[in-house]
Amino acid sequence: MMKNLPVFALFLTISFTCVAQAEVSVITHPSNGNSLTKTDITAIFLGKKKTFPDGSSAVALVLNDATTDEFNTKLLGKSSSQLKSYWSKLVFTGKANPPKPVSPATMLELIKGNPNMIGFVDSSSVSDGVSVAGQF
Amino acid sequence: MKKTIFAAGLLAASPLIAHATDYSVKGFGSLIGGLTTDQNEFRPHVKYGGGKYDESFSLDAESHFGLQFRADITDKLYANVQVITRGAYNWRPELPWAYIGYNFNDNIQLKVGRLKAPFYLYSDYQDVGYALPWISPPRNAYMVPIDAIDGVNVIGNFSRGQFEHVIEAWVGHIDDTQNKYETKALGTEIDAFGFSYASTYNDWLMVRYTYNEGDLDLYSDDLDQIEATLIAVGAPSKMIANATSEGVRGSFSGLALKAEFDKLTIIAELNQLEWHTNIFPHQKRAYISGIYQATEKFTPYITLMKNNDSAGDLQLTGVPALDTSLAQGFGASDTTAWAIGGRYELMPNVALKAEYQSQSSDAYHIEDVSDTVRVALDFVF
Repeated sequence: MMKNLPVFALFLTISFTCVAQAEVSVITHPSNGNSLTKTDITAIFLGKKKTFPDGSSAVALVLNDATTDEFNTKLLGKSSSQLKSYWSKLVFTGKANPPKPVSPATMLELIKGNPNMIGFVDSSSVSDGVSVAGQF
Repeated sequence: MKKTIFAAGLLAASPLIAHATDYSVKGFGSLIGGLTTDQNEFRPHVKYGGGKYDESFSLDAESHFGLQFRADITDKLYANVQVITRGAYNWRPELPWAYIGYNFNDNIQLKVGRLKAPFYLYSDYQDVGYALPWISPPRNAYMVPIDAIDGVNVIGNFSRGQFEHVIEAWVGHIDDTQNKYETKALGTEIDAFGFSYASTYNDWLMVRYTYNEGDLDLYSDDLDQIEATLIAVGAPSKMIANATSEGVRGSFSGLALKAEFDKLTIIAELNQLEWHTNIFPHQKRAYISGIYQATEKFTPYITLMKNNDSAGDLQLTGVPALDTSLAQGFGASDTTAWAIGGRYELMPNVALKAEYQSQSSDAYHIEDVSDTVRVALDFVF
């Protein structure tokens, strides 16, 4: 029994690493001076608002990896199928299209180059040239 | 300057985008099959034309598929076209939406072209099964036969504190091309307008009211024939003629309520269709549905439905056989139904649903019971 303990401990460590949720950073261009509340961010990513609080247009981007599920659960409070259903209502009545999914590298490039865009990355991937609007 | 950067950004984001206009094609579909468990037939909805269920399993009655093309011409101006094809109409394509939209800002949106009349709580995406908790909205209360308008629609939304308000107004022309296509013998044209007001408190309680009114021009070979028969037996001759004459006013009003608790959602609608003529019945229809999020993937529901259709001042002829048919066709009826069903998330864009419905109606003292079992596969892509 005892000799299995390290294996068991290792197993636990792996399980916890998998279960532990990564932190998500919402990022914008450094020149974007808006201070964004969670409500503002949610409204932009749910297509309810197409502008930042200062009136400039806001274009949301999402990631094409699992960080998006994390973001959806933490900020938008919806599972992926709930969100799919939500967007179906807007898409098929022509009200709005969902944010485009991009890779983490493209996300950082786009945000660095565009004051109108807002996105998110895993907090460990935040790089220079973007500013963090909030961590969740 | 910002525009250029925006365009450049989009270019970088997708190699498929050749210039600033952003195109998208999306689709949805519902493969719905069912049968009645007794000897009766069941017609799922007035919109589904000849679609009906009987004792043999049918996929044609309600299955439908849709494709949507959207072009974002500028960040405010866009064009949107949706094509639907239904088994009940031999898969002939329909255009429920084909319009140019303009978003003045986050609060005011304008649409011009072919639009869906926003009669009900779920009018806008009634056909997108994936976006609904049920296989279809409780069909008894979605009773206006036609909802394709050519016109203008304005939506305004604003929030104050914990309240979110949405006001929608439309005006347009309804030309029932659908029925005309099926048979040249029946057609309707309506000039109509309507508005709705919905208020949501704190994201959990929503109340919506709508009122719509129109002047109907109706022509029908069947009604003309009934009229001829009535005249032949000496019945009041204006009875049918009044209905088929031009400009008969009708109104549709509805009250809806939606309450979202932690895992339970309650949805109810009370809808009323009235014609200012003595031939069509006044229809008062309601449902209440409880939808429970049992697990992340499984949401069962139960729905209760009630119809109370009262006859106009139908004048009888004194000929028993004729009066029976008149009363059955145009008279009062009471219908109650209940349904139990559920939705299961098969994949992130595919849902599987099943429903059992039992309906009993009493029209002119003739009782009618029909029990229907339906299954559906809803998807979006």
